Amino acid sequence: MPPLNQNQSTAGPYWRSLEEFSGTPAFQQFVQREFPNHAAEWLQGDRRNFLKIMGASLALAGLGGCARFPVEKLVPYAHRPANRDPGVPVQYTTAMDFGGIGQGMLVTSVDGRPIKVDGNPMHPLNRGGSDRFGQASVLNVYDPDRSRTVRQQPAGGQPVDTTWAAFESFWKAHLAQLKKSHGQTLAILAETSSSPSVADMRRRFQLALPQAHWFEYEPVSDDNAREGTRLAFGEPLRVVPELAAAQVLVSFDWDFLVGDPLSVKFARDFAAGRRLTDPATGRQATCMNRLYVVESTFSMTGSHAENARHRFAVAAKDIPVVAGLLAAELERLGLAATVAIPALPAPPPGVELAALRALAQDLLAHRGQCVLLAGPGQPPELHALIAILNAALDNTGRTVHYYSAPDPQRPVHVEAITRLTGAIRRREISTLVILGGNPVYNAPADLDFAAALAAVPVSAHLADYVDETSRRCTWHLPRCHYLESWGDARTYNGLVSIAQPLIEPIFGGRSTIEILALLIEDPVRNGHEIVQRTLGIHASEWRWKKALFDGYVEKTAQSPAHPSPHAPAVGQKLGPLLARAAEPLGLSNLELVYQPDRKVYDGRWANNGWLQELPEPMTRLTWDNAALISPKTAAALGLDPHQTHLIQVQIAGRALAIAAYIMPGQPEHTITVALGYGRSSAGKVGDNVGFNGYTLRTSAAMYSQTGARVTVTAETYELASTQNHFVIGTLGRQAIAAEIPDLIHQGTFVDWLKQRSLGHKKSVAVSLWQEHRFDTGYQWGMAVDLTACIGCSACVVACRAENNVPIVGKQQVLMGREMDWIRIDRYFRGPDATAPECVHEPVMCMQCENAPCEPVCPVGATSTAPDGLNTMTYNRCIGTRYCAANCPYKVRRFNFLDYNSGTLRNLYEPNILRQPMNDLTALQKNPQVSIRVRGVMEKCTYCVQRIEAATITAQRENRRIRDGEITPACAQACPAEALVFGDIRDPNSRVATLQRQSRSYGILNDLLLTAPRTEYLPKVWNPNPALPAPPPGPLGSQ
Amino acid sequence: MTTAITASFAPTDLDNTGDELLREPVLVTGPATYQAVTDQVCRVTEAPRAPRAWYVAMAISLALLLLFGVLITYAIFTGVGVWGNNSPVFWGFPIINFVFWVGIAHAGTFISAILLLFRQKWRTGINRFAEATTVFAVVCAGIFPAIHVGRPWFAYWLLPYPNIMGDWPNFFSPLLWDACAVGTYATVSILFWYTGMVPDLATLRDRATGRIKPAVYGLLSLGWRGSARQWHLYERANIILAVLATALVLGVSSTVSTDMAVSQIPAWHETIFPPYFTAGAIYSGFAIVLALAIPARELFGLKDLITKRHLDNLAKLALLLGSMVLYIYLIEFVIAWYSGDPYERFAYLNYEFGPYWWLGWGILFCNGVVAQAFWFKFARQTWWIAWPVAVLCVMGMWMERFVIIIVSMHRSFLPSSWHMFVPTWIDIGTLAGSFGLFFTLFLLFCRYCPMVAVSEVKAILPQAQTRDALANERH
Repeated sequence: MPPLNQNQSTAGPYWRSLEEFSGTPAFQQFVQREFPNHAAEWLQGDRRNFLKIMGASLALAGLGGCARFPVEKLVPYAHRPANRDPGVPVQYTTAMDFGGIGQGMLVTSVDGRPIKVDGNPMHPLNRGGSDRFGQASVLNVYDPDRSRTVRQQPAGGQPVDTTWAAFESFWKAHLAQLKKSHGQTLAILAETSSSPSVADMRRRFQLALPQAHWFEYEPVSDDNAREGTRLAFGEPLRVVPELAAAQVLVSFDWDFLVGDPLSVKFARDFAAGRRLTDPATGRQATCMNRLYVVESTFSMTGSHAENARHRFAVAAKDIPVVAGLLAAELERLGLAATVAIPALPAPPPGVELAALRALAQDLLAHRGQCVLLAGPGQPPELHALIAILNAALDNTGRTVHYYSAPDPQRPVHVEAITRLTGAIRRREISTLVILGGNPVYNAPADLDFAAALAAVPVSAHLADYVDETSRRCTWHLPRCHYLESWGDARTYNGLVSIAQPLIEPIFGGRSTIEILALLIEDPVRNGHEIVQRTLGIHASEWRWKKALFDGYVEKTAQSPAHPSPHAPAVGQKLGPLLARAAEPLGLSNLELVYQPDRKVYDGRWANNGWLQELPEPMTRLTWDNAALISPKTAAALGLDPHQTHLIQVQIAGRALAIAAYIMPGQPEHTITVALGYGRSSAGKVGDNVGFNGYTLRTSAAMYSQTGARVTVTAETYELASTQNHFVIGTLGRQAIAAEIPDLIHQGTFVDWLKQRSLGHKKSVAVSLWQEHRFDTGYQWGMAVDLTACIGCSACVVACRAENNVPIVGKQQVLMGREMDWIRIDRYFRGPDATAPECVHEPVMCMQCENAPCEPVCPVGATSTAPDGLNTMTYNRCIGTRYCAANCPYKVRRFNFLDYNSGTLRNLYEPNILRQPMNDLTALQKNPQVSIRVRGVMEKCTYCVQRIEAATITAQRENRRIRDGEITPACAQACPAEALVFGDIRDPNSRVATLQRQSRSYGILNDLLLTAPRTEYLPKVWNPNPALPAPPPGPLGSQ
Repeated sequence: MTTAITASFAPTDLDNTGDELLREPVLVTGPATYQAVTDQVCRVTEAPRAPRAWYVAMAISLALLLLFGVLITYAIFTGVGVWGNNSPVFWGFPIINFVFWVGIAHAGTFISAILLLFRQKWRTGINRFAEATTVFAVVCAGIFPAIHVGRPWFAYWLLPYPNIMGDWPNFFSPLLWDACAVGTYATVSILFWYTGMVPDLATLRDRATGRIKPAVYGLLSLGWRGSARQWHLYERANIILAVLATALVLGVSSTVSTDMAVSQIPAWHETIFPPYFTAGAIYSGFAIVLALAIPARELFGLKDLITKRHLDNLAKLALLLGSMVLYIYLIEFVIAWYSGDPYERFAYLNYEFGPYWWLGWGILFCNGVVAQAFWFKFARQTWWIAWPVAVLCVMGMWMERFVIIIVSMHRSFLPSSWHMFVPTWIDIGTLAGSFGLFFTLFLLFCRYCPMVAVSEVKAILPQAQTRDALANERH
C-alpha cells in the first residue's frame, strides 16, 4: 500500500519544456490562461477557415480525450501468496512501548489491516492480558486527524505542507553547520523509551555529535522511585513487586492495579492471590491476600482495600507521615532497627494509631510474604523508606524484585526539562529536535516552555499529530504508529520484544529510530535493518523468526537484583518531609494532587474516541476530567451537591477554572485533578475536552502541592457521567441500599471458609411449568468473579474494538445513549460518604434462557439459539425497543441516531445529508461483525463470531471444541482473568467449575427466573480481624 | 334553507336537566319540529361562510399540522434520537401520545355503541361528533407507533401478512396485539361512524345547491333513498356494528395495557392494568368530548340539540370513571405495599417522591381530585367550571401516561442504569402537532358533515314516539 500523501512538489526534476524550466512569464501566462492567444481571432475568419478550424478542433478534441489518468497498477490475484487467505484473520506479535515499559502484543490483522490488539499470551508481562491503552491503540492507526505530511513553519510565517525530501535536504545542509561545533548547539528532547534500538541510535548520535545534548522528559514517570532507590541503594533501580507471592499488601498512594504501565502484571498477580476457586482445577483457596491502602485520591486500588478501615484517605503530604508512623510501630513491635526515624508528628486526620498497630502486626506476621508499595507521586524519601522496610521485612527477593534501571546517569525528567529550558533561554541551543512527547502542552507551567521554544531558530517535532508543540516548531515530522513501523522494546525485566509493523505507514510517517538515523545520516536508514543491527540478528536467521513468532527475544531478560539498603542516610532526609505534615490544611490552604488520567493518561490518548468515551472507572465520567473534592470540603466551600459548579482553583499565582466533582472517599482539603485534558491541538475528538491541569503544575510540585485556594463560581457545567450522581435523592439511596445486596453478593473470606455458599440459596423462584431443557450440544455460559475483577475497564475497550461499537459523543452520553455492550457498574458503600467502600460489577448481556426481551419483540428479531445464546437478528429488527424496555439488566443498546456515519458534530442532520463512515475509520472495523444501522437494537453476543469460527474449525477437524478455545474479547483482554467463558454442559470446563460453586449466582434470577447464562461469584473481602468492621451503611451510586 | 346563521334562530339553552317521574325528559329544546332539527344541523354546512372563530381555529390547527408533518419527516430522515428517548427510557413521548389518543377515542365509541345498546336516548345529540372524535383520535393514535419504531419504513412488519419469506410476526408480543386491536378499532369506528352518517348525508344532498355539493354529497350518501328496506338494513347494520364496537371499547385499551402488563418492569407487571387503562381511557374520552361539546354548541348554535342535559350526563359519567381511576390509583399503592417486592414498592414511592414527584401528585390532583367537582350540579352546568375541569382531566390523563411509561422505566431494576428523561422540543412539537391533526380533522368535520345525527334526533322528538316505538322503548 503506497503512502496516501501524494502531495509532491510540482517543481520536480522533470520539465515539460524549456519555457517551464526557465519559468518565463509567457509560459506562466500560457499555463494560466484558459484560451491561448489568438483564440478570439479564430472566430473572425471566413467560412472556409472556420470549417478548417472546426475540423481540426474535432480531431484534436478526440486527442484531448486521451487524457492521462494517474497510473494505477493492477496486479491480478492469480496466485495467492502463502499464508494469505482473503478475509481470514491472521495474528502477529508485536510490542507497544508505553511509559518506558514494553508490552508484548498480539495483533489481529484482516486482509492487511490490523483491527485488534491484545496481550501476547507468551509475553511475561501480558500473558494474554492487556490494558485500556493497548486495546485502544489500534484506533489511532486509523485516526484521520493524524498528521499526513511534513510541515514547515518559518519563523513568523504561515505553515506550509512539504515533503520528507525537503526536510532531508534542509537537514543535510543544517547538519554540516552543526557538525562544525560537534553539535554543541543541538539538543534532543526525547520521550522515555525502552527500545534498545533507540538506545543504540542515541549512542551513535552522541558519537557523531559528541557535544550535542540529549534530554528526556515525561510528564508522568517513575522518577521518584528511581531516586528513592538511588537514596536507599546508591543506584537507581526499577522496583517490581511480585504480588502473587504477597499475603499482605500496603500501598502508599499507588494505584498499581490500574494506573501504572505495569498494571497488567499487577492486576493478574493481585487477582491470583485473591481467587477463591481455581477455574482450571477447581481447587479451593486456603489463604487470601489482604490489601491496605493509604492514598490521597479514591483510586481503583483503594476500592479494593478490604473495607473502610483498611483504607486511609489522607492528604498526599501526610502519606510519608503514615509510613513513618508505621515504621515506628514496626520498630516498637520488634522489627530490627531499620532507619532512624526523626521526631514524628501526630497521626493525620483519618488515621488511628490502633489501626496502624494492627497493620504492623499483620505485616510482622507475614514477614517475607508482605509487600509495601509506594506511588510515583510520592517523594523519593518515601520510596527509600519503603525499600528499607521491605528489606527489613525480608520481602526483598520474595515479594519485591529490583532490576537495573535503564540509563542510570540521566537526570530526573523535571530536571532535564528545566535544564533544557534554561539552556534555550541562555541561547545555547539553536537547534532542538523533539522526538515524540508534547512539552508545550505538558511541561511544568513555570518553565513557560512554549515561549522558550519560540526562541529556538530551528526546531523539529516528530509527532503523531500536529499538536501544541508541533505548531510552535519550525518543522513538524509525522511519526508512524507502532503498528506501522519496525522497532523493539524492553519490558520491566529487560526482555526484548520486536515490534513488527502490521501495515505500511498510512500517512508516510517515520519512526523515532528512522529519524535518528536521518539526523546523523546513518547509512542504515530503514527501521527493519536498524532493529536487526541493534539486536545483532539477521532476518534470515531462525532466531529472528522465532523472536517474531514468540513476541520476545529469548535470553534477554535480566535476573533481579537483591541489593541491601544503606539505612542511615535515609533517616536524615525524612526529617524535612515529615516537617511538612505540620502545616495544617484548611479551606485557605488546600492541597492539590495531580495524577495521570485513567483514560487519556498524560494527554497522549486525547484524540482516541474509545478512551474519551470510556467511563472513568471511579467517577464514571466520559469526555471530561474534573476536580475531585470530598463531600465535606465541598459543603464547606459552598458547592451545591445537586449541581456541577465551575470552580476557580488558584495556586501560587496560577488559576484554573474547572468543574468540581464531589467524590466520596476523597481526603478532606485535598483536590485531585487528572492531567491530560483541555488540549487545544489534539484533533477533532480531543480538542477542548476537559480542563488542563498542566497550567497549574510547576516543576517544584509535579504531583502535589499545598497552598491552593478555591473560589466557587456561579457558572455551572455539564459532566457526562454514565451513572447518575445528582438526582438520586434520599428515596433513591434507600432503594439502592435495599437492592444492591441482591445484585452484588458480598462476603468475607472467613465466612467463606465456614460456609462456602456465603448464604446464597440457589433458585428461590420456581417456574409454573417445565422449562425448556438445554441439554444438547454446546451450552455457552460465563462466570464473572467479582473478587478477581479490578474494574479496570480493559474489557470495555476490547469489546468496542471487537464488536465495532460506535462512540456517540458527550451530548449523547449526557442523554443516556452510550453504546457499550459491557459496562462496569460502580457502587459505593459505607457508614458515611467520607469513608466509603466501593464495588465494581461488570454487566453485559446475561444471555438468559428465559430472556424477557424475546417474547415481547413483535417481529421475533431476538431469540434464543439452541446453544443458549440470546441472539439478535439485526436485519429483522425494526426498532420497537420493547426488548430493551423489558430487559431487567438494561444491557441492550439502541442506535437512536446513525452513529456510524458522518461525524459526532452532525449527528442531528438528516441521513441523506451526511457523509458515510470515514473510509479510514472503516478500515479498523472487524469485518466479522455487522455494522449496525440506525434504528436497530444491539447487545453483547458473547462474541458469537468467535464461537462460530471455532465451531467451524472443530467441525472440520471432526472434534469437540476444547475448553478455552473460545474467548470473548472481554475475557481475552481481562488481565485479572475475572471473566471465564465456556461450555457449561461440560462438567470439566472452567466455567462449569465456577458456576458449580454454591456461591455462584445469577443477578435477579431469584426474583425473575431469567435463568441467566452469565453467573457471578460474590465479591469476597479479607478484612483483618483485629480491625473492627465499620458499621453497616447504605450503599449508593454516589 | 341556505342562509347563514342568523339572529332570528336564537337557541334557547333551557335547563332540561331535571328528572320528573313517569315523564320522558325533554332532550331537544327550542322549536322541536322535524324541520327545525334538520335546519339547525344543515345550516352549519350550508352557510356560505363559517363563523370567524372557525377560521381562526383552522389556521392554528393547520399550522400545528404543518409542524407535525415537518417534525415527523425530520425524525424519519434522521432517527428517533431526535426525541428525548434514551436508555433506560426507551419509550418516550410517541408511546405516551399513542396511549393517550387511543384513550381519547374511547368515549365516542362508548357513547354511540354502549349507550345505543343501553337505549340511552340522550346520546343522539352528541353521538355523531363523539364518534368523530373517535375516528380522528384513532388516526392520531395510529401514527405514533408507526413513527416511533427505529426503522419506520419497516413498520408494516408488525402486521401478520403473508410474504414469500414465510416470516410471521411474533404472536406472543403485545405490540402485535396492539397493531391488531388498533387496526380493528379504526376499521369498526370508521364504518360505524360513516354508516350512521349516510341518511344525514342524503339529507344534505337533497338540500344542496350548486354543482359540486350535490355531486359530492350524492357520492357520499351511497344512493340512500330512505326506503323502508334501507332503513331496516341500516338499523340492523348499526346494531351489529354497535355490538362489535362495544367489545372494542373494552378490548382496545385492555390490549394497549398489555404492552406494559406483560413486561417485567416494576409498576408495569400488574393484572389490574386492563381495567385500569379502559377506565382511564373512557374517562379521558368523556373529558375531551365535554371539552369539545361546550365550545361547539356555543359556536354553531346547537344548544337546542346538545342541551344542558347532555353536558350534565357527560359530566356525571366523567365523575364515575374518574372515581374509578382514583380508586385504581389507590389500590395500586396498597398492592405494591402488600406484594412485599422491594422493586415494586420503590417504583410507587418513586412516583410520588422521586424526581418526577410533581407529575405523580399532579395526576392524583387532576384525575382524582378535580373531577370530584362534578358531584355538584352547579359545576356540571356552568361552562366556565365544567370546561376547565374537563381540560384538566385531559391533561391529567396525558400526565398519567407519562408517569406510567416514563417514570416506571427511568428507575427499574439496576440502579446503575437509572437515568432521567428530558423531552426535546421535537417531542413537544410532535405532541402539539398531533393536536393540530386532530383539530384540523374535527373542524373540517364540523364544517362539512352533519355534526348531529339528524335522523336519530328526530326519532326522539315527542311526535316520533309512536305506539310501536314506545312499546319498543319499554322493553
